[in-house]
Amino acid sequence: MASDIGIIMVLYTLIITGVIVVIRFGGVAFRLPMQIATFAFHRLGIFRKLPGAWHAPIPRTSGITCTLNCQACELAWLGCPIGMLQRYVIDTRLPIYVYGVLVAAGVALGRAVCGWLCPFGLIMDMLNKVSLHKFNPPEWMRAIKYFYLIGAVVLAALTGMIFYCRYLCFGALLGVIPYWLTWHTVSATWLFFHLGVFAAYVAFGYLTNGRAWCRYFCPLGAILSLLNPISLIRRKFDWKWCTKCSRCKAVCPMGLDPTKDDIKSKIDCIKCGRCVTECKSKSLSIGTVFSGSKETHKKGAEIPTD
Amino acid sequence: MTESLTSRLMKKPFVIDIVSRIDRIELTQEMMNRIRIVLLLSAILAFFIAFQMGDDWYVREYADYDWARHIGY
Repeated sequence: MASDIGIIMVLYTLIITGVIVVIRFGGVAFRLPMQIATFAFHRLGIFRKLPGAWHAPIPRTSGITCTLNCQACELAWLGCPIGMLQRYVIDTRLPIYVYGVLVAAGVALGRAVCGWLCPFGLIMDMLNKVSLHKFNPPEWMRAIKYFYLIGAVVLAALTGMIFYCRYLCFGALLGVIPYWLTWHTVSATWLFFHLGVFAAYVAFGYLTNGRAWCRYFCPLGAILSLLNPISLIRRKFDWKWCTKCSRCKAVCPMGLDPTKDDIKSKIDCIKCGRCVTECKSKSLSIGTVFSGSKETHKKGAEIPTD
Repeated sequence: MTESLTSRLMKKPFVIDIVSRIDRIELTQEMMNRIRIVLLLSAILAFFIAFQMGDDWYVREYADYDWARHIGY
């Protein structure tokens, strides 16, 4: 048992440290490969479905990562913290393990988890590429994710079932569809209900912004957003070089103004680095709290003339 | 045009009091580091308690549990 704790602690520490090192030294170019790698990592249960015995058996475990990842998926081998949180509430057990994972990830990475690691985040980014960006929902809608979080816990306690996953989660793509595509039967009612929920969120994201789920609805994002202001990953802004072109604001998938350090930016920035790649004067960068002052200007930038 | 809920709330005396109290808190870098350390230590303690008491990494009932079936399929 003691060795189990040691191995798991070392694993979590290595993963979190690795992500910090990649973000700090690799930069934004490594975001997509990392998202694809984490997506594949969460779906390692696919080996259970492949014929032959050439691969290691991948068990279904009750271990969790700090990302939204549907445990109902036949290809999953790790659980979702929100689903597991509800199960703990139903079983009247203290979710100490969930607390440990979320606080460790939240303090180290904050919402960089959403921008760099979340398998759903990859799907959201793909949706963001095709979405219309026509409508701008009111700002108060950002509070919905906190109500989703409180609602998930309260409704699990009241109803004795994983209510949030059953009726409200966007997990259809990573949960129901693989379950349905493998040899399981899914009743038409449930299949169409989940596809309907999924279509409603996708339609909302298509009309507004691809990251609408992360911005307004994600209960895991709500937990991480509370720890985001103290996380080790930082978006840095050097005002001396800013030309006030507002390109960064236009591309921000979370609808923030990266040149401001207001409370909204502090809690909702997913450190995806879209603003960094868009900024021609290189006045924005992603780094850690250890990487010195805000003198982050890089060579090759367009120096403002005014 | 009606006044927004936020601006109406911001005019209430108790809201003004709470906002000014929060505004007066000085979050220095040193204090932030302390908060980080306390939270990280609490997370490590949580891991220790979770695994020492309940073997939460591999609880058979959760691992063998058919989540999709429970959702209602």
